[in-house]
Amino acid sequence: MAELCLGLATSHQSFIIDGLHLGDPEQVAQFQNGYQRLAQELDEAKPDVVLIVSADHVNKFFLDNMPAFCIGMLDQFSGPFEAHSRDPGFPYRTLRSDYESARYLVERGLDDGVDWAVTENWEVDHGFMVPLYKIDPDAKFPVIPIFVNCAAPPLPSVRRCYNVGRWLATTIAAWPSSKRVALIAAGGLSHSVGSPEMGFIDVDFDERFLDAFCAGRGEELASLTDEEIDASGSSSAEVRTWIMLSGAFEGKTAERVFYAPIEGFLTGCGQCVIR
Amino acid sequence: MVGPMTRPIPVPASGTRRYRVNRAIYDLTRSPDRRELAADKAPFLSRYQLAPEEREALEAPDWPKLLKLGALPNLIFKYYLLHGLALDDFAETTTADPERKNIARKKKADG
Repeated sequence: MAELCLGLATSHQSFIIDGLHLGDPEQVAQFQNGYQRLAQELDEAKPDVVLIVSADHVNKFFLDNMPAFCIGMLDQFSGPFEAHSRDPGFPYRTLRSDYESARYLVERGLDDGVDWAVTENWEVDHGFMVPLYKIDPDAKFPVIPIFVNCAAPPLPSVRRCYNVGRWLATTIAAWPSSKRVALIAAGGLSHSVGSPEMGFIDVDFDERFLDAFCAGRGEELASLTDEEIDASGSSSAEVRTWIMLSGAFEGKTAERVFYAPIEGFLTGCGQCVIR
Repeated sequence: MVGPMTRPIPVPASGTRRYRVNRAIYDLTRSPDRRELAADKAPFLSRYQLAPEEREALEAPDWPKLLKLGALPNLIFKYYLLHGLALDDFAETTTADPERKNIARKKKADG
């Protein structure tokens, strides 16, 4: 049977690459060290495939056809999308994916209660490419991108995201394959982009979130209300990706690798490892 | 009776106000000519079947109004940057509510 061998959670704030000067130098250095740790964890785990769950910032997905969840079922994908309008500070890359593994997840989902949207063509944005560049800079592992709508309400509920995470774990465990699967959650923590609260970081929310995440209190995360999350920031909905990871590793404790409210990055930035 | 063919073909009428406003921002910010278009938006926006207040809010741009009309924050942000406005001034610029101005700084000051 396949094995969910590693979980990594990280903010995907792009300033860690193209805006280093904006953040407090000590916090930025710790964030960078955190990425090195995550990269080392992935390298040592040697997964056969990496799933990365992240948000799209209304680049690929728009209101004319907005899924709650979407899997990239493809041989390869490219990005970041932002390279079309500015220099993202790292190379535009084409990464190999794993069509067969993605198709397995899609088919199991369609049979078993997760009606995945599917895309066979995807130019992912910084939400995917920044963490992938920092965690797997040499593109050693095939990657399946997975989208969660965190930007255009109505969003999938937090509870639903947690349960999709649980479904991923169950489905991977039932997979008649010897594959080792790593799961990366990218996004959050508290931040606001494009709203008048931009710049506000809710440290209290982030600390409570991380406490619950690291203690394996997934039920507590799954019970968060939209009001609580929205009050922490208009973009904090991205914590859904972490909550999905928490569901996939239900009950497991995590190690807090890094957290700091990096004001210049406008984001409460965090990183964790979970097995 | 079918009316005469119009050229260029307008953007199809859409179901919601939120869609119309966001569609215009989405298309403009992705256009290869976006910087030129941002300087004179009226011809571009004329293709979209916008209500007068929607068109006015997009042309100004009237940031608080756009948020009220349902513009998505990620698109507001891209539209804001397209107009060459400073990131530091975003909070101040995008709200008409004196209580919400600089809310980031206010929340920080309040601890």
